[in-house]
Amino acid sequence: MYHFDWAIFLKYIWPPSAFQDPLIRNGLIVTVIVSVVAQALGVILGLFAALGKMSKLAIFRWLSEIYIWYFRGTPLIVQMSLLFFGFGVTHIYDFPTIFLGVVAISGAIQAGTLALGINEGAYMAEIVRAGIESIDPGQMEAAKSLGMTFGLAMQRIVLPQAAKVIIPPLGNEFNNMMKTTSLMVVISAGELFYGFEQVNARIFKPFELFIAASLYYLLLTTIWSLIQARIEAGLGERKGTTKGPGMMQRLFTGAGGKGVR
Amino acid sequence: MNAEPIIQVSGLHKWFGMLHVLSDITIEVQPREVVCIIGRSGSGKSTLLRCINFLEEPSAGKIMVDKLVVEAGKKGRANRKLIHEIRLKTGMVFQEFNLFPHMSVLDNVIEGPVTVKRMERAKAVEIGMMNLDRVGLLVKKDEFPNRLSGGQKQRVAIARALAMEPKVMLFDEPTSALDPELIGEVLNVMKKLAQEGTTMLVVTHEMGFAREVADRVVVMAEGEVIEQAEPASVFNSPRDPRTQALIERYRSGGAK
Repeated sequence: MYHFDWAIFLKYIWPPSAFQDPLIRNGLIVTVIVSVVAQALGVILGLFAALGKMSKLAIFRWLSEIYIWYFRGTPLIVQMSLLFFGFGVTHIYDFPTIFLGVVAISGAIQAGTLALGINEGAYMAEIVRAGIESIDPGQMEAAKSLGMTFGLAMQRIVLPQAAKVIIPPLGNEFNNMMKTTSLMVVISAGELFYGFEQVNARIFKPFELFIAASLYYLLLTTIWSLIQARIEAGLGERKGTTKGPGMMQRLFTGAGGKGVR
Repeated sequence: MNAEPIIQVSGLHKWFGMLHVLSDITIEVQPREVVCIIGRSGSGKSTLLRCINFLEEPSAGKIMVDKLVVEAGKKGRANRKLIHEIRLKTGMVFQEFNLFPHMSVLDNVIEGPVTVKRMERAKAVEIGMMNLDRVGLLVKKDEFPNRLSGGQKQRVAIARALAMEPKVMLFDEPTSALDPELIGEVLNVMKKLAQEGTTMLVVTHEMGFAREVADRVVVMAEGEVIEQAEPASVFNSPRDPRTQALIERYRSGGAK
């Protein structure tokens, strides 16, 4: 019979003691920062891809289609490995460590963040496009009749309204992103799951450690759910529209869960 | 007629695919003139109006607005700039109002002056308030559009277009989306603008308005201008049988 090691388990689920291990502390920080940066990159790329897809010029439409096709049609783990190992071995780009003051950002973290962000952009493209298309074309016409350029009309009139449609699924994407960062373990980027893997390699307590790891992810996604509910309540209030799914519903129906990409 | 029209449309054609919706349209609008375009639904009158500020791209022909000439089919930066300038000289009022729902009434009205003309906010607010006052809605300046009635929305839309201080106001069936009891307040605002000397080109089904306010009435059918004259002549002695049918239906109460 397996002897459950409570001492190890409690040490690693209790943040003050777990954080004494820099693998866990830094891993958690990296996971949060990488999630935010990759999601931001995804939103920006998604916006351009969505506009490209809706462009009058065929070349932009094709570029967007190919981008979305490839990044939604292949596994993220393959994209990430190709970017880090493939680009490294061919010296297309070696991902040298970047130093920002006292912080060193490893090549693996850079490549992982980039892969996550580019992959996310392909998914965000559809979300952004749906948001833009939900806005009455009369809004763009009214803006143009006032002399606005396409860009100004997007920025001032269409996107602020589309945001209301985009933000709820964007929140779900971010929830997913925080979990998906764990795939960076394949390129040994020092995020949270990598931290637990390394501890496990040292003491071999996979049952205790991976339960502890899952609790940290649960903590992150739960905190985010609370923040997301606040944001969406704010959106609904301002516009006087109906509310999104409630807190409990959001936690227990797995809104946004999409599995491995 | 005066020598220098403010709008001159000549030889305008528009195809939607195989559909020839505008066929060799030539019309003029003089400064301070009120011109109403009437005709049955599908006669091309809205498309004509939308070609003047290039919300629709003309297929052939020439559009002149306040000395700026754009020929159909031309591309490129210079052409885009001309279209931009023409849009600055024309104010447009839509059938569906198209107010910006995420902005207050006053912000709707000052959006153009602030972001397009780069006017100082204080100055834009001053102009915005003046134009809201013109349409009688200064008291609603802090409301959001979803709190206004249809008639009020359309009056705000008029103020928004006026705030850009255009040379010509284009109205695209401004009362067609309104409940009957709200039509009057919009028409009254338009009448007042006409009396103040605003140059207006109005696509409308409101025969009473055309008859009373217009200096000239343009009648369209099947993508062509079939008749244009002073309202008295169009309404009392229409020449084209299609105009006669249109006027007849209006007299018998079925204005649409």
